Amino acid sequence: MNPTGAEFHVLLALLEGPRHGYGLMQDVEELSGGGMQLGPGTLYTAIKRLRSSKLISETDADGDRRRCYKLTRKGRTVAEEEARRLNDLVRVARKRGLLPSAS
Amino acid sequence: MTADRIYAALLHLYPRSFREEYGHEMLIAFREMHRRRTRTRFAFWTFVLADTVRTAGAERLDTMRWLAAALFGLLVTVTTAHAVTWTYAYFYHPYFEGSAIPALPYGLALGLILGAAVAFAQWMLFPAAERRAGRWALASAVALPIAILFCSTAIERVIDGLNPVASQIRLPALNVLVLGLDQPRTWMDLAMQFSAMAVSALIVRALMFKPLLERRHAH
Repeated sequence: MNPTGAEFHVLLALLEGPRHGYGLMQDVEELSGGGMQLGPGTLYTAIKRLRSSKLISETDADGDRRRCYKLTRKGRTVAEEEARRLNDLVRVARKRGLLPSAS
Repeated sequence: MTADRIYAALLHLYPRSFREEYGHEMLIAFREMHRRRTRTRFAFWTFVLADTVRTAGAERLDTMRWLAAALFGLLVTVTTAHAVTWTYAYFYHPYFEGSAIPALPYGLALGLILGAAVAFAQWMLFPAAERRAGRWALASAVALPIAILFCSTAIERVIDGLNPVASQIRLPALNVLVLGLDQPRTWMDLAMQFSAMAVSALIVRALMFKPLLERRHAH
């Protein structure tokens, strides 16, 4: 499965540990430097897809009895592959002069 | 009307199964987002509305995909059932008995070939999300009626060959299918195909909606 931008951000946020819905919204906004803000609709449709692909799973509810989600082993593998794929793309972009070289 | 109530009303734009699974959590997330909002009221509601309409539309479309896939399989069913029936009747009628035993392996082989061909077409045409629906639609809508058609005909003919008396007491269900085969334009032929359509649609629906029905969270 190739995660969408929102899904990849959710996977990245869950690398830090289980999160509930609003926690994920805050983390994604912070991780993207404010560049990506997820509304509840975008977040929960992403969660639905990630759950059905078994990339994340539900874990025990937090103190406020909100559902929390955690990354599965498969989810971690997919996140790694996606990160590698994006890294390769950036390398190509650098090689073609689209981005300044890393050095 | 409070913001919560407005958002709760907006949640009705989502399909019922999605709303039942995630609606409560979405409302909680919305409440927190609303409480800590930094944008103007107009910008906030524009964002929320755009998010809701876009994702609710996508979810609605997603729930319709099983139907589209089922209909595709059913279209193939009706077409192939007619083609097979007419070809069979053309070659073997009225010497139908000669084809009694070969009908079973022939029917199964034909079903498999058709199944593989349609599965390949679906694999080429549909993105991943729909393939699962397509496969089940195919299995239920194509293989089932063809297998029933040929198996029942073969069984009927075997009974005829083994016991001439038994051949006079035809099993109603099998007899109906044989009649459908001999007279492809009867209402029974159509009824059989429409039954297969209903069965396949139900199977696909049950399979596609299974994950959404799992309520694992106790409130």
